[in-house]
Amino acid sequence: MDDVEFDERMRNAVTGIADGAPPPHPFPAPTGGADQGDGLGRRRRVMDHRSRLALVAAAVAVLLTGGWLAASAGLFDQSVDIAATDEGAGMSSAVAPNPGRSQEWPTVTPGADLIPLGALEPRRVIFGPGDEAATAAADYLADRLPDLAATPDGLVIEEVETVDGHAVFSWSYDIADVSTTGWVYLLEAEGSWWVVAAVSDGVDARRVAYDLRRVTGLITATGDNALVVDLVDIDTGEPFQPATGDTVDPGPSGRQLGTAGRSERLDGEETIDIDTPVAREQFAIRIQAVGGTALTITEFTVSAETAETVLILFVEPAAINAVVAALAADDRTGDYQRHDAAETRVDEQRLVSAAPELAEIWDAGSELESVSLALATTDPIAAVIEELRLLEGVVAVVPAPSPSPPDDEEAATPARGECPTTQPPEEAFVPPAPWPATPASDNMAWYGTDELWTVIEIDWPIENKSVWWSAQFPGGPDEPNPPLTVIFERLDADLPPIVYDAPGTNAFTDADQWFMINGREPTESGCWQATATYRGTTLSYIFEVP
Amino acid sequence: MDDRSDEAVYAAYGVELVRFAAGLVGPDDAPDVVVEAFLRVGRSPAWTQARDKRALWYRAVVFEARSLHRSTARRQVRERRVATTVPPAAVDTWRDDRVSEALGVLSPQQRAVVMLTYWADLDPPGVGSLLGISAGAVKKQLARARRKLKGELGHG
Repeated sequence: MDDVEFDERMRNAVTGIADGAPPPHPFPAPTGGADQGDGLGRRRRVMDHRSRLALVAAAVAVLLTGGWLAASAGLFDQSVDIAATDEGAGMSSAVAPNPGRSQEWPTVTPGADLIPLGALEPRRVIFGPGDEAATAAADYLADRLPDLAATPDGLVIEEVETVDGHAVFSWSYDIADVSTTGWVYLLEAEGSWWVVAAVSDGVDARRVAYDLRRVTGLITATGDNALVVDLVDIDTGEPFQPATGDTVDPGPSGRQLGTAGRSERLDGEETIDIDTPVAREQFAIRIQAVGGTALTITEFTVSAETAETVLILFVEPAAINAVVAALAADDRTGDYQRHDAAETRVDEQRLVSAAPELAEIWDAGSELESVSLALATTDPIAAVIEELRLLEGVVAVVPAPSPSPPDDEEAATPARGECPTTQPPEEAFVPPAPWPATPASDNMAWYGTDELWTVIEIDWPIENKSVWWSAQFPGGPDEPNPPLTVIFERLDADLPPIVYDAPGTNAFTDADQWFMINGREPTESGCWQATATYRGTTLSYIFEVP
Repeated sequence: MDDRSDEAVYAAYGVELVRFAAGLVGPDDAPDVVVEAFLRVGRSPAWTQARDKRALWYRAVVFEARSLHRSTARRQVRERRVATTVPPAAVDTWRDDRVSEALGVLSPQQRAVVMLTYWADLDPPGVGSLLGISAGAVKKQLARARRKLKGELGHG
């Protein structure tokens, strides 16, 4: 079935679904009080369910969603449905700015994209599945800490909490005067359990950031053992970066560790200053302490969506109303609705006070693309809060690209449609045999020469890896890592280029024959020029991401 | 600013929104989701100042669909635990149809993009303006949704 037929069938199918919808309920009164009619029945049930969520589940929710789910789904067990109370019927009464602080709070920049973060989907999975949470956790630890797991009475795994499809397991060991502990977070989905993150005591990755171009920041660890970091392909579980320096010899798993960096000793801590170009929608960062074998595991996923949208704030009690007011005034329904926790009039005494962190975040407020809010309690399990402080950094606290470029940059930005995109040549380029005369999709055209060619998209760009062909590229085992360099440069903004250094990788499909891949076309809006170099031949094309 | 009364807005777009929501949560929950979204967005300070209340309502419906998506997942877990004491849930007609079932594997946001693309026949910028996301994000979501749908429908 080709795309056209597929689209037509989908059009008919979804139209049928829409046409089968019942009529809407009668008009409700939006500002009503306790009883809003039939439409509120399910809401009350949802809130009731939320109120029963345990703190650990909420903590994992923060991990999974970057915060807003936790804020809306029961971090506080006093959750009530404000729509069912007179006091909560109006937003204004719930979010009156604190008079002593409100003027200090910047207004969140409106108009930025609001990209939903998803929810209970196994999209942040780093390992799995298992029939039971305990099985999945044990299998995961056996894979990541193979020697410890194989030592009799070495690795102790204990269930901390399993609530509503979320589970937390602790792991620890005390062998020959070496001991540490950590936690594994799991999610139940599609009838199985999946590991979505792991943290280790003493490993701090809060300063890691991903801005859609590079992974940067410091990773530190207490202790005497070297720290290694790998950037991992979600699908294969293997590092996708070529090794940049000394790596650790493969252990029993055969896995090369430290392909993205290895620590040095600074100020009494093992420190990795990571700065690696990455252009992927999603990947995992795996950090392990090693001392003859893997001794800890800290692992989590980073996604482009997360990088663009998420920031978790720990808010001091007196500031909560002002924060919510600023967000509500942002005219973005989604953001406003992320803050149910404030609507539920939580017990402010239970909030964690973290004024210095908050001030730092607000200092950067004008550069934040959007703000999400997470609230944390100190009761009953303070340890989870500490984990959250790790996780907020590694999962969610990611400065987003500025939505408001400086004036001079804005002036230099070509208007929409002025990007001189590369068009298909009038006389179509036909690659030599055995490559096909035309690309696999009608939306694409070959562009280049026998020495180096690629595909350009005719209609609108789709998410693509950066793929290139050459008659000089033998493919297969003859050249598994072709010396292909690809650079993406913004023509309409003064931004650093995205560089994919050689080597690339080889690939083969029946339709495309042998070709080369290095990196991925950027997804950030703008006018881009791609330039590839292979065996002395350079080819460029210009494309626009709307 | 849209100066129409809430009742007029509801009358103007209620049917459309329920049809849209049917693609997100199925026909049974669609009216509930739409009215809840309306109530929620109506309480927002942004509502009275909104220039495009329709778009604001659309986004609220997607948000409610996500809430339902999450609560449904939790409910299923609970129902499995108490399956011997609680009667099974009513047959979910949403999953009876093959395409509907395939849509069920998408995220609510992807379903929204699919519905607006195929049912409302909007281009990516049009979908993006309704959902408050960029056209690029729409294309990404649509590409992912297509891949998933093709896989689910056996055309991958």
